[in-house]
Amino acid sequence: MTRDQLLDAIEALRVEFAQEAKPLSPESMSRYLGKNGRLRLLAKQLASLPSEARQAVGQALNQVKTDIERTFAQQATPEANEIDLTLPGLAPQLGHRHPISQAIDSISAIFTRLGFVRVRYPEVDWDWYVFESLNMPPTHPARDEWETFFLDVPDTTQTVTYDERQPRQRHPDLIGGKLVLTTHTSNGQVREMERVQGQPPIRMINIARCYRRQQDATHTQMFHQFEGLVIDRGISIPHLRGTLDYFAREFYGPGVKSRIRPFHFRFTEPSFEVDFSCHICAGTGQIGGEKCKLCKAGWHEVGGAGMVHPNVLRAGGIDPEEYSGFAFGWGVERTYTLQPGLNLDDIRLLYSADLRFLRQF
Amino acid sequence: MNIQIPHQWLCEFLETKVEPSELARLLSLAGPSVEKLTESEGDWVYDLEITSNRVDAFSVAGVAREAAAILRQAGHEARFLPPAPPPIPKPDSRVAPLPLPQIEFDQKLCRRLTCIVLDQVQSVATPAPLAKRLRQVDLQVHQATIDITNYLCHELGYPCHAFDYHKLMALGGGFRIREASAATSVTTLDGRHHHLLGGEIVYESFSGEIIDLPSVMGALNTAVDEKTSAILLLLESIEPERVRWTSMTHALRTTAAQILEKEADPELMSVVLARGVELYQTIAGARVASPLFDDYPHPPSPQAISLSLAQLTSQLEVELTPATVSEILAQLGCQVTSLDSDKLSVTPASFRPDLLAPIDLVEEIARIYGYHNLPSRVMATALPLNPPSTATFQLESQLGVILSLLGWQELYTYSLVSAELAQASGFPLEAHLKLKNPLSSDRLYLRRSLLPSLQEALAANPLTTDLSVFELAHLYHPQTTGLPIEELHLTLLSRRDYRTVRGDFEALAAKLFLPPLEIRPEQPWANQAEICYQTSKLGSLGQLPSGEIYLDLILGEIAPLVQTHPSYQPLPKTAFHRQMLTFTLGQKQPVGDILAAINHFSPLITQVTLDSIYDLNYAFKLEFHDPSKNLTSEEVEEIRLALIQAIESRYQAKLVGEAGHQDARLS
Repeated sequence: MTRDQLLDAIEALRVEFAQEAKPLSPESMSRYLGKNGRLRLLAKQLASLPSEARQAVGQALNQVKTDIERTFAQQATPEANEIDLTLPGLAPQLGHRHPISQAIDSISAIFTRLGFVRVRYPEVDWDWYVFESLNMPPTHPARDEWETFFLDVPDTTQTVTYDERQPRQRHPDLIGGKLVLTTHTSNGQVREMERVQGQPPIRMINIARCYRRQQDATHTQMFHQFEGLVIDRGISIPHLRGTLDYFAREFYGPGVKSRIRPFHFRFTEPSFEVDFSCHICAGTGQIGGEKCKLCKAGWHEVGGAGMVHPNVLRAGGIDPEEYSGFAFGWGVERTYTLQPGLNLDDIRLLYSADLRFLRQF
Repeated sequence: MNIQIPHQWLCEFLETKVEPSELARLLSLAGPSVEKLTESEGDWVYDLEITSNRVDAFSVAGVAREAAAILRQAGHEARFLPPAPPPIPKPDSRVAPLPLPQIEFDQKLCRRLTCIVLDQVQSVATPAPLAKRLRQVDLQVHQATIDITNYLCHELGYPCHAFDYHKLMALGGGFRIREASAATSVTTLDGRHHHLLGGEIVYESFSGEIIDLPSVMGALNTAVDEKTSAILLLLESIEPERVRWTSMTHALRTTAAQILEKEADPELMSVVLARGVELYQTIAGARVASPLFDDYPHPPSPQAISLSLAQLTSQLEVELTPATVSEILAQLGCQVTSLDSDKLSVTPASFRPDLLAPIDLVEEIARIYGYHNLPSRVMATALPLNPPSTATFQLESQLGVILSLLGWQELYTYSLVSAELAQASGFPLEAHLKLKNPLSSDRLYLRRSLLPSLQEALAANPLTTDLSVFELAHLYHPQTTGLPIEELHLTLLSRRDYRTVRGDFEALAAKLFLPPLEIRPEQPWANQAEICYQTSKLGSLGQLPSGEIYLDLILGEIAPLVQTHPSYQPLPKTAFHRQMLTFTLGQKQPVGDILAAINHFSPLITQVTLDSIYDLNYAFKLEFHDPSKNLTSEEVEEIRLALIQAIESRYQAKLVGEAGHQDARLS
């Protein structure tokens, strides 16, 4: 017999055995496994094959033999192999990663795929990085919007005349400053520009604890933000849109889109509000003829974005005539709670130690 | 800032047939965001959010101008109808002229002041159509003399103030604009008494009384009431920073202050005054009784901005024709002239002081064109190849995953703690960073240990007897100068026993391929030990007085020791022998010493572990191995007997059972 004929014969034997009437009789055992049984006869044929063909045929034969032997063995002691398959599982003691950690991991992974580098900057920082370098001069009303916590330490700021186009004159290295708890992760913008010594490209993602003087069902004194910053030659609004769309799709699922609308921040120009289309009503604002209760006309407002203001680039030692960039930032908690089906409407629970809550994640 | 605008009122300044719902949608996409569209008294009312840089849009007319530009760009027919009240008439000959109060103007404090006296003002009810509009926008309805000023401000976006003319004149016949001195006081229209700090801009009558906190709130001593027969209608443009400071300091956050603390356009004052005179004439029967006062020494002269169309195209990645660009900017009140094929000269209107640079114009063009109409694509620019060298993000994630699989619950607790928790850190309270303006006393200090927070978390779950929690977060160590040191810690706290916690730590160390770490207590039996590697201190572990076991690691110290893979050891070709030896040890005999002694006894003892403890009996599992040859039972027995003798004599230990042969050869 040739190699292929022998393989066919082995396959035929396997099929024939599978069709044997159950329970299997002692005769069938000797017919397959006996001294002059079918398997032994086939094995004898192996010797006539060229050595290079023997391995494959031998393996096929061994497999069939093992299966046949197991079938006879199981038939001989049927009860020994039986278990109560209706028994419930014995749970191992599993812990749980916090939902914020899970969200941070997902967010980081998405931006890492786009070549962003994750960084970390101080949570207690000079007001220069939090406000002034971001085009918010001292006493500017825009600072009110941030509900800032100040540290009870001496204010070392020395008064200098403010020149909006020369923000670096007021760098804390030169004139000291006030210590604040960072109200947003945007303090990382100028710090990142300084880290790369004013030499783009920058693709930064900064995720950190932030602090604001507010507390209710949708605000906690401490929360997490993530901040994206991209700076290079020729960075445009369509690049921001592309990045936001990519994030929306990856984080919330296919079909979810982003939308930017006009807004105002001192540190971006133009500035945008960022919305994601509602995954519950597929962006229609309607479910079965009723108004979708989770979104606003098919959209969720998630955060802010914009093209980096020339003064901010200058503060980071980057020439706005040569480079442009975009930045975006919003709450990790808000982003996470919009996950389909999560239904979490009180973010204060995230900072509780209530195991009834945490063990659900 | 939010403003409510009824559709019919809007249509007095906007000619369009577009339905309110569509108008709301388009406004939100390209202009002020419509947060709500509700029905009120037979009309639709828009609730719009106006951003702080766009005070020019904080009025019915301002929104109408925006709407016209947006609707036209979206392909709808629309036209802005600018407010055009009749010019202010000369003093009415039917009434005796009333002199203007004497005004000592100070151009350092006030850019412009304009006013006029109106006589024969009748105290009448506000006409129904006006009252309805005021109700629709949630403004209170009083009487016409008062309501007209609120109506004017809402309609045109510039606040004005009506003084009772006779009350004002009775206080010396005039006033001066000045900075208040400390220790003066004023009672405002709402009846509240304010002690001034000094530095507030005030109108002070010639008799020395403060009659107004201009642009913030009027004073009670010159307030209009039912008996008022003549008013001084006045508008001013005070230094915005002072308006804001006065308003914030005295908690008088009036609409007037919120508008005038921003860059409200002083040019608008003439139109508002003219419209005011018109309304007082038609509604309250007023007659103009004085000439117009208008001190405006330095009207602004907006600067032209040069806009490059090529630059615009590179920002938007859409090529707009010069005609489209000009049309958009003109709709927003800009004057546009073409300089050459690429450049336009754009002079913004006086009400748009926010337009200063080409990028500001790019924003205006892009938003009116519609951000949603721009392309969307990820940038194909160079990738940064220089991540921060100290990043530990991957390790942090790995730690969280391993610990949760080992049964530990991750927590996020507040970095800000109470005085009680701060003190529990072991550092004195004054050695903590403290907030200057806390929101609550339980969030006052930046913590220097995670343990008190985790203890609090455990205490909140008293019924979970085997609870184990951990947190990865910063500690904040103040420095004499400069920023505090923020040190990332991984802290674990458990109600499980020491061996279980330490076992988890050892498993964690194994998964991270850490080198052998040393647990160094000050003395063998103690409640705290340092975790060390060579000369570095990586953290600590121990038992709290409450019985819980803790472990605290400094991430910056651990990170450099973490490996992504082990050093491969060739697979052994010779057999292992494993044996169990059980010794009875003395009270408080440190087991670590016995383990170390066994480990170091012979190079052929390749592993020793503590298997079980029963009273003072400790069972050790030993592994014998020689990589160069198979050990014989006799060779193993020889080492074993010598080991037993050494342990018994050195540690006053006693082997449990016979010292005879207990071989169990494994592969």
